Amino acid sequence: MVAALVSLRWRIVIHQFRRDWWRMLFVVAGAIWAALLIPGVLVGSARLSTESTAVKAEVLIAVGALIGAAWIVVPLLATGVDDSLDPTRFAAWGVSARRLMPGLAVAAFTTVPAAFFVLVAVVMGSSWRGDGGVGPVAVGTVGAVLTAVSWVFSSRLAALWGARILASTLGRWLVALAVAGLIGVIAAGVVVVRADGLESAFDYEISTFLNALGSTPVGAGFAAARDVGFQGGWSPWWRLAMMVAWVWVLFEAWRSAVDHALVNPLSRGGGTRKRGDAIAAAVGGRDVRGHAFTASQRIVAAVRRRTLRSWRADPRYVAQLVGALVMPLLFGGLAVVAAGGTGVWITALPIALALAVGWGRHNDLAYDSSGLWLDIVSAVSGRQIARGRLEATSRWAVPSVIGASVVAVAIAKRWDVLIPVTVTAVAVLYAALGVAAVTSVLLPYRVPAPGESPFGADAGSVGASLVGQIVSSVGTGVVVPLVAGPLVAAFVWGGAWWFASVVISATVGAGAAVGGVVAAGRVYEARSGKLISAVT
Amino acid sequence: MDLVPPALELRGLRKRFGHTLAVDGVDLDIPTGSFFGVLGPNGAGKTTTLSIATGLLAPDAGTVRVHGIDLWKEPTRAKPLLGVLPDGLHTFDRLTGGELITYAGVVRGLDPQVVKARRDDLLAALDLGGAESTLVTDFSAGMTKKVGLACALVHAPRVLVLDEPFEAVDPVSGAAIRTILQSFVASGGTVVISSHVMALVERLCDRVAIVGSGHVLANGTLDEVRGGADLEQRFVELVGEVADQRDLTWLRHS
Repeated sequence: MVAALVSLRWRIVIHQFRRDWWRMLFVVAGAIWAALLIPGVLVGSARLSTESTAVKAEVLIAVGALIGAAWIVVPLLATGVDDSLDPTRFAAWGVSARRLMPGLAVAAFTTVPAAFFVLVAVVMGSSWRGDGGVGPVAVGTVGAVLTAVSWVFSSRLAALWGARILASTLGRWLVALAVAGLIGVIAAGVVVVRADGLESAFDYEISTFLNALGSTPVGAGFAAARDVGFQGGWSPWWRLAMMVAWVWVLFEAWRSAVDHALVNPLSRGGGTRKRGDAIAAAVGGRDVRGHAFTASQRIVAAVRRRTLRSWRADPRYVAQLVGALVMPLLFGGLAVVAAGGTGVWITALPIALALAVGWGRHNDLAYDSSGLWLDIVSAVSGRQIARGRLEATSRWAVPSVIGASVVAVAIAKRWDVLIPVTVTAVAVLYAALGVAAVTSVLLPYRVPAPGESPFGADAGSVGASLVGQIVSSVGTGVVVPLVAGPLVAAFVWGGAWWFASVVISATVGAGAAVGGVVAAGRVYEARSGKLISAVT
Repeated sequence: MDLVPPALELRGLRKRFGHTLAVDGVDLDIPTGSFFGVLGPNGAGKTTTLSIATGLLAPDAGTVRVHGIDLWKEPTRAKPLLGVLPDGLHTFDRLTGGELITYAGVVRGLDPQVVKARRDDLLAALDLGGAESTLVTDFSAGMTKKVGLACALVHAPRVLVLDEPFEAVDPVSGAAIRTILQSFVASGGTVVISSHVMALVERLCDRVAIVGSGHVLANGTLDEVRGGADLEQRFVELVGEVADQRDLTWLRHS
């Protein structure tokens, strides 16, 4: 079964490459890029091998923990997990999870990222050379390999659990609570750093935290070699035993998740019942002057309403919403912790959030493609669809950006800049959404279909998305400085620039949004006969 | 000379996917008021042809006219005349059945009150009682088909293009759909269906085209295409039997 599954995976990948040959270029480019990083890892390992045992252990634990977190966070929030052997595809075959698992486990290591990070782990483990002969290196290498296996297994498990959690309303609430918890942890980190200073945090809190991680499956694999020949005793061996047990636990949890996935397809809404007709209610509204909606306004309202339902109920959208909010907050929070200060640059956080949300919509059409055919055969104008989608996103994104602006200004203790910062951040959001509206119809790429795992990805799909992302980044990179530049000028020169920044950013942001919607509409109509095949 | 343009006029349609020529010079005239069946083996190009004919897929070459209006040059004039039920495409599955029909009516430019009345009529006529409050993602395949048909009907089009409309539909609902479609044709509308069920096509359609390998192999009235034989027999004659009719002896239990 192992050979059959590994062979099946390669056959699927080869067929994908034959169909879309350009994906191969990105996979090869990714492999070359990974290979080029290896010398840097070797140099880092060589330098680390000369450090003290304590420093070596802390660095290895920290790097290992970050890579481990990335193996969970990045696939869930950004790239997805290779789904060529998605367990649900075996559902009709009558093969048990127990028989599938060895093959799935081996196949999980036949990807470029898995091969690269196993190698990185081995190099990291070899950093224990020079610490008393062969023993520490051997223990370090075994611990590193076990840690790398746990990264790969936990990534697969997280994708299956994540898809399962997002498929239910209760699960989506739990995710919201988890996000709130994460924000709380980041806030606690900010408080600690602001109270004690960054240097003190590194010397005490972070050091203590890393040593504690060394006694958990997160860091035990890299910490095991620390005690070989020094403290003696069972320390290295119970850490390795814990890692073996941890790998086994992850494997069994993965098997259990596969078992569940085989007989519980995701393509169900959990029997949700809705009262009333939300579309009818939305199109029966009135405009700001109190007039009943025109036919055009009704279409925009209908598109907005159905897209809002997707943002709330479609796991693929919910996963993106979480990613769009968490990534900037995570990195922004880490930056705040790292900088340890209350500097005015923190006001860049809401702008980064706006940028992430807006730019993240660069493949909006593909996610919204489940009923694309209905819009196309109905001859709905592209402008109405683009506007409806943009308005739906802004319904949750604008309050988020305003909230982030208030928090940033509060941290910086600069309430005097609240209005310019908020206006600029919201303007950046609309400008980025305008650019994304165009790229989403210009360069759409395939995403998981409704009912598929929101975390699934084809081999080479990262490359496919790169083209759209690069074009979107260039467009956003051209427009956003025009919106945010005046705010920077205001911080530098002050005076009339504050007022000017509000006026200019609001004008340019609105202009970019309207221009983006109009342009996206034109491109959509010109390409309507090609869009379905581009995203399915 | 007939001055009334056909309901659907396909000329020189051609579509290639990589090395596969899916549609290779399809010419078809579908007269107004006809119940037209498109038959063909799997992979014959039926769905590709119907996708091009409804504006879902751009052709490499050829033209499509709906009641004389060029679909690809004047889509905003031609598409309102069409009601479309595609096969194998998802729909907005996080809406309820009722909301999906409302959405289809609204984007077709109907007044909300008209949409509401038609939505209720369609839910009743297609036996979609519980679908009003259930998300489409929780529908059975047959219910999904029926709600898709409701979306195709809601704006009262002049031409219905339905890809496998009876697939997965239960016999009771199938009878209701047949009645609706026959009534539609009797009132001057045009229906184009694709199907693999010969008996169904013989029962419903007055005109038939058999498609194979991207070409139209036969086209005309049901009697013309049958040529005095059974439709299934004629179909097999035109598209050919399975080349390797191997006897699966290992499948037998006794």
